[in-house]
Amino acid sequence: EEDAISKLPEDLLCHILSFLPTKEAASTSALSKRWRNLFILLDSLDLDDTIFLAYKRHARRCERTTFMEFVNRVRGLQSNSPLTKFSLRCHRGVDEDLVNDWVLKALRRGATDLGLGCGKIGLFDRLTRGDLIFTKLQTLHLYSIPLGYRGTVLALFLSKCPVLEDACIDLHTRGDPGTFLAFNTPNLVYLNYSDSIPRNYPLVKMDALVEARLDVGLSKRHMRVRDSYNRHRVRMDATKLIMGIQNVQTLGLSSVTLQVLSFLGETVPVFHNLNRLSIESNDKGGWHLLLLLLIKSPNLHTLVFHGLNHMLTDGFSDGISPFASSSSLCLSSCPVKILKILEFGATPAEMSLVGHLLNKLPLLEQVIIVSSEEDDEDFDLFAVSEALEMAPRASQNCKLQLC
Amino acid sequence: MSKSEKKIVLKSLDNEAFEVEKAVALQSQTIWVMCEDKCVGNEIPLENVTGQILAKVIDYCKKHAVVDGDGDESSEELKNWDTEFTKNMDQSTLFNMILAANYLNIKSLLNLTCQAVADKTKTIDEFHTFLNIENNFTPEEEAQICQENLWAFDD
Repeated sequence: EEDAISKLPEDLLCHILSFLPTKEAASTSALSKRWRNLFILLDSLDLDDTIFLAYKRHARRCERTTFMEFVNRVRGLQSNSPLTKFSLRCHRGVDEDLVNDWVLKALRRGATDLGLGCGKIGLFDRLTRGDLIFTKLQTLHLYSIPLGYRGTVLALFLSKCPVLEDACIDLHTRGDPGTFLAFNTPNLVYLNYSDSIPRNYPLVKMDALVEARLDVGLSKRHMRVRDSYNRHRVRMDATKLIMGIQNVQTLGLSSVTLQVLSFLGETVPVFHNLNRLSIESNDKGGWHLLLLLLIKSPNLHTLVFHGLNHMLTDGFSDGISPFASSSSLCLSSCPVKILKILEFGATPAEMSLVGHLLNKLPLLEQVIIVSSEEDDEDFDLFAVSEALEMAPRASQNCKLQLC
Repeated sequence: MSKSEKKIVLKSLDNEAFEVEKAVALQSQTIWVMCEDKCVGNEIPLENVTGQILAKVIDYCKKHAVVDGDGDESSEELKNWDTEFTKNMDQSTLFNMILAANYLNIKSLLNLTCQAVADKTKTIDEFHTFLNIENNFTPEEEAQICQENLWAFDD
């Protein structure tokens, strides 16, 4: 077959290369003369040096000379040409000052999309020094940036990104929680935020937020305090964070987040716009507050569960307790029309929970249940389907779909 | 709006005519601009696209058109359809599809076809075999390129 692709104009070849990580795109320089310098023209850089870790012991501490040389060379050749996307993932073997330089330069070149899976909080010290405002940055992905007690620095950086729309912030603080984190991000539309809850969120301004996914739990230190004294001694407060996201239309919560919400109790705000709520479960977390959340979501249309196995080890004797606790009256005013249950295992507790929801939710139109594993021998699709079809339903128009 | 006004005729380079719904054709920004420009009638000549390729482009646009009461297509199903659509295209078809998507200015189709080339060429060897690119470097030049971008070639 003839080599047709090489005959495409330069800008279209670059467009093809933009779908490859920069490492692969750069390797096309050895294909032929036509391709030799194409990757230099890319306006999006996706630099991932974490992959070598899989093969080498002690690799985390290896000095990554070839990587640093490569990035410096590309940076030199591209000079000040506009950049749309800059993503950097590497380990400690890369000089911190260099990382800071690269990121600052990328932002100065007008990057609208920044991804970082490296660096230290000192980077944000550097970025926020002086009056620089990052007026182009729309998308920010931060993975595993250790924040420590320096949340105010990240908060300051966020406040200097006035058009930020999409933020994925995974701070992954395992040990001590940070003290503060603030979101002065009035144009943020989408937030995916994982962290252990800091002591406080002094400011949360997210008026434009449409969709949020939260995975915010207690830190190990919090848990020690909670287990040794009583829960009121845990010094953390997520109230402003929850108040700040109350305009969302789509909300995803991890089970640890639901646990944290239970500290808020009755002060949980009303989610007037909430249309779709998804709950991730694991057997370590409880759903103490789910019922309250459902009551406070007067326009909820779709409710999704990623697994139902939360409460089995959570001190409840049967599956419906978290819903039954404050009387079933509440569920019968819940407007949910579509109920989706993924990773369904058909244990007695799960069956009883589904039966309870069918029996109480008055406006259900569609129930979709997806079994946890296709070839699970214990899972008798037909028997489960029959049992659920027989169960009493509050809504006569409800269609059941099992797969 | 009468029925004829909702339809539009696209004419390929080799004079093949395709009658399609306007909503289908207007996914092409190029056609959209031509239609806005009242000079053209109901028949739009597309001088850079052959009938064989245009037929495929129209298939894609039909699948992706948002027609009233037909917006139920789940995004997952659409994604699977897209994968099937490009899966068995040979290099020259992909080449012509990329050019057509670019000329007709259908961004999602351009992304899909360029992604398809990228997906088939994860390693440099795959680039050589799938794309059949002839290496026209001298061994010295090739060694120099590898040396310049050492990181890209170490694994």
